[in-house]
Amino acid sequence: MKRLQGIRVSADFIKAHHHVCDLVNSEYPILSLVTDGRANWLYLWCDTDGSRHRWLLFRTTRELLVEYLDKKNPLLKLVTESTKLLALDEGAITYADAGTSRKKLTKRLLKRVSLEDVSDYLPADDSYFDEELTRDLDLTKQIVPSLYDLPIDGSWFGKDFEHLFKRYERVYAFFYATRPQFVTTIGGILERCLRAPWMGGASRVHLYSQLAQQIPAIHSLRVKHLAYGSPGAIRFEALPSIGESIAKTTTSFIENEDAIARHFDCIQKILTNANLRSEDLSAVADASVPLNDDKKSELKDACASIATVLDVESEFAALVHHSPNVVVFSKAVQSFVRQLTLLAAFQADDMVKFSPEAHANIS
Amino acid sequence: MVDRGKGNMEIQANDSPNQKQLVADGQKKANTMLKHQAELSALTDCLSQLGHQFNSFAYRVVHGALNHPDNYLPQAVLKPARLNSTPHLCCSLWGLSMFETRDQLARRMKKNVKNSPNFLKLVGDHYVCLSLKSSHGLRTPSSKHGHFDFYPYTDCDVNSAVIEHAPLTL
Repeated sequence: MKRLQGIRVSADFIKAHHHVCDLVNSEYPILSLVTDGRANWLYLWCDTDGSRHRWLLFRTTRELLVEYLDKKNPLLKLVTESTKLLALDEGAITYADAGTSRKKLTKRLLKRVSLEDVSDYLPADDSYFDEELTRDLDLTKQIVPSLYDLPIDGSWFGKDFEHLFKRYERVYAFFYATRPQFVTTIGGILERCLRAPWMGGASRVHLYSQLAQQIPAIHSLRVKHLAYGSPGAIRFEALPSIGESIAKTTTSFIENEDAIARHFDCIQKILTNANLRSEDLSAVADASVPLNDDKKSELKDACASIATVLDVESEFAALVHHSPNVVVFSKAVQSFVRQLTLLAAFQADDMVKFSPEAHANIS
Repeated sequence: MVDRGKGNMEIQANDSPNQKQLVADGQKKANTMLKHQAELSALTDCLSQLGHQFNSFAYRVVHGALNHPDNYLPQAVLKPARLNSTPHLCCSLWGLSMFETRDQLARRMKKNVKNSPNFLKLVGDHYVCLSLKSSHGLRTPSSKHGHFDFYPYTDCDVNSAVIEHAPLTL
């Protein structure tokens, strides 16, 4: 493996990178789609000396990635047009068959490189996307994001935008992760977030902020245009079907706030009485949850009632499927309701209009 | 067809004679476990999709040295992080990738090399032609591109089934 020229970069640079799916995987993941929460990155395996592996990391635009998936551009174009090209050398991995110890990755060397440095590793001119080489994508689902407007009005301060985007992004992440998407690994991401050790407060709010960081950047919320006036609009480039669901669910929430509050309080009471509000049960199976069957049923019923009122039964079913137990599921539901409460407050203050009719796909 | 998940094997009414023979062969191996049996048993809908009949030959890419330690290691062992990142593929990650014909194998490797020119340094630049039987393990049905996964029994020495080992020409 040849020594690469280039400028050394701290490995912390890729600390926030999350694997989304593999775009080429045959015996080994050759090309992986990765997100840093904002941008799309591709990791292309390119060399080994038997003990170290070398990956070419390059950032790509939403447009180029869509064209690659549409087979309009080869992978080569994504590499050559990237504005950020890095080479990652990963230290020795000594694996043994099951039953014996496994050594984990220890060394990582990251360098900023030029195209000339990595010319031996470049894909072929006809390196077009081939669905035969991946099982992580469902090409029948929407890939290309489009534009839709969220109408805004009233008077706004800087912090209002920050709060709106934060809440809106979390609810967007909920809908994205609980529905089948073109990236079939999304269920795994949801499951990982629900089962990760949880050290937060009483709410599972971090679930949705973590999800928002891990959904593919190709579908994350991108603010394409912002017109501020009386009235104005935020123009998102994302999945309009989810924008529409957010509008419908928030509207249902506003219309049924009292009923939802009663079910929310019921969940809260059960968790508080059992001292489970700040208990980390991420690794506990349902049968081992310290609640009797009646209380578990009450939790499930309260969550089911909220799902019915908000018309999110299938989304909650996905949460149940990926949750380790009914308590974690209930906390995830509570957190979702809290996010809706905060979003609805914008409408109550006449700052955002969430009605589905006003929230049309404009593309 | 064949459910070894709970240690039992059932013959269904619509099984063909060949499949019955296959199951019978498997029953002879009743005391033999698959490699990584514990991990496979823990996966829903994994073992139930195995039990497809073996054809005459199977092809796999390997290194030039027939005894290279990575030749018959599944992805789950070579790259365990993938078990977390792609839980929907866990069953397949414990299997060994095979093809029904040498041409199908070469075609797939050619596609990989287009994306990553050094790919054969990773998986090997040779192929083996194997004469696998149900006494060696279990397998999935093949895809339309001829690919299938093979799950050897613990006492299976895959090299004993090699009938050809040669450089892979793309």
